[in-house]
Amino acid sequence: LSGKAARSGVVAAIAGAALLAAPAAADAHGLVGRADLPIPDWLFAWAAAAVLAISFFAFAVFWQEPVLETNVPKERFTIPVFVDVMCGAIGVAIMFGLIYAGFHGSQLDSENVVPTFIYVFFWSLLPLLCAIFGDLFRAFNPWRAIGRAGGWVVNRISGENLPAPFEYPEKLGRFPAVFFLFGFGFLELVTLSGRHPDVLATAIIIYAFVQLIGMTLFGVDRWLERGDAFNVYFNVFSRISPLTVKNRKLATRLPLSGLTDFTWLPSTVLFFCASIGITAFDGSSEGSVWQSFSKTLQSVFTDIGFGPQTSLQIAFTIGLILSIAIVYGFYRLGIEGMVSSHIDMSAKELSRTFAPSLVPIMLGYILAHYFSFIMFQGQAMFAFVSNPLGHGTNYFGTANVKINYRFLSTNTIWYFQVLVLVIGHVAGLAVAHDKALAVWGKARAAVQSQIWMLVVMVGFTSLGLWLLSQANQ
Amino acid sequence: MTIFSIVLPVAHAGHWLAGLLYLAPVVILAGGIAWQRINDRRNP
Repeated sequence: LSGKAARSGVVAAIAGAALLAAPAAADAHGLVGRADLPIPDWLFAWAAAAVLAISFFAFAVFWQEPVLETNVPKERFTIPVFVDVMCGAIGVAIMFGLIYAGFHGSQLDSENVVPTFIYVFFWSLLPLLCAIFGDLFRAFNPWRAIGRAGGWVVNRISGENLPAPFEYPEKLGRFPAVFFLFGFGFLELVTLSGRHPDVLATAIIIYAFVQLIGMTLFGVDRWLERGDAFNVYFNVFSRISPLTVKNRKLATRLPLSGLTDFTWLPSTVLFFCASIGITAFDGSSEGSVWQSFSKTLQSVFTDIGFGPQTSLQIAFTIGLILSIAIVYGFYRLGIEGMVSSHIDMSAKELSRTFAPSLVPIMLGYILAHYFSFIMFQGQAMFAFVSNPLGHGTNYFGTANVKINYRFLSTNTIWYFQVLVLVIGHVAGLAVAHDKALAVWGKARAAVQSQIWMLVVMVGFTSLGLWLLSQANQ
Repeated sequence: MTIFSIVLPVAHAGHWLAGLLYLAPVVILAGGIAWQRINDRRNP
């Protein structure tokens, strides 16, 4: 075997072993107890793989010219300035409302609006809303609104448009955003107090403070695109949407076409892999094998001298990092496979060129893993709007609305999970195929380059379905 | 020491074996591509 082939083999072996070694999972936010599926659940993974393979060949035959790459958004109308200001003000009001609720409301996460708002609405549902309606978060981003308002005031006082005091170190790319995204995953999945309202309120204050410093030093837009994890996170989902706003003009475009002009910066691939890895670890961290393994790890650190809680958190930190590394390794497997196909691009160039194809997968993973969480725990928002602090208020008469757990059967949830995972991966294949057509021009070369991407997509689908299936046993 | 007492979770062999069925499409696909690649090199 040549060096490249051998290298691909090693990567394949590692990724395969990682897939096998990944812990049996229980969806941290899912409901258990699915039964009576007409076929074994592993057959869904085979069917999903077949759908992906058929889609791949359908693209090869019927999709011969780049469509997404050449799509030009059509401007529809100008959005008045006051809408931008109003949305920003609403975002700031929500942020301060959450901080107030976090400190002054009940400290039980089931009685306080903050945990449900952040983990259900913000983290799980908003990505879907952005994928449908465009970059909603950017419009309501509170620290962006404060940063822009501060910049406006300073410019008015000085009488000129002052430049940012410091040049952003471009080598860092989106690494600050990766760091903060990992921090959010750490808060949610590793710390023992990640659901405490006062801890979440403190985290909001610290994060907003850091963002304001970053915007002050490097400029609002430059920092937001690189250092605001949530701005990057929701912006990439909004690129799936047929709606976009540029220079205050609302425009329509082909769904997914926004991914074609996503600005590549260092650490972007890591950001995408971190997003998928956090979701995957959320699904796997309550599985029996992981719990058994984490206990072993915990005892190792306890023997070294750490306390039991610290040891457990170290073990979960390792698990979170491992999960992200598995996702990154599997993507690299596809890239190494493409390199071995005698393509005149380096692994680095290929990695950044096809990174946007991971975005629909990110969305598929999020929707599949958090679907039941959104549909059931999301109902709690009806009660929280009337009683956000848990102090017994009933502003809108909905404080006593209970969660209806019979709203959806567990089989329906499973079918939806399979569906969104498959759609997400087919969409990822479509984005990669269109990009390959634009890069190589000829359909044959594009298809040859993408055969390994198909392996990556099938692998991610199988992994996702396996994680979900374990949750429902 | 605990570090020497780490054992493979054999008790969960059922989970692992079931997991193999999920891995099968990836193995089949990657194996097929690799096989084709080797054939192409042998018979250019």
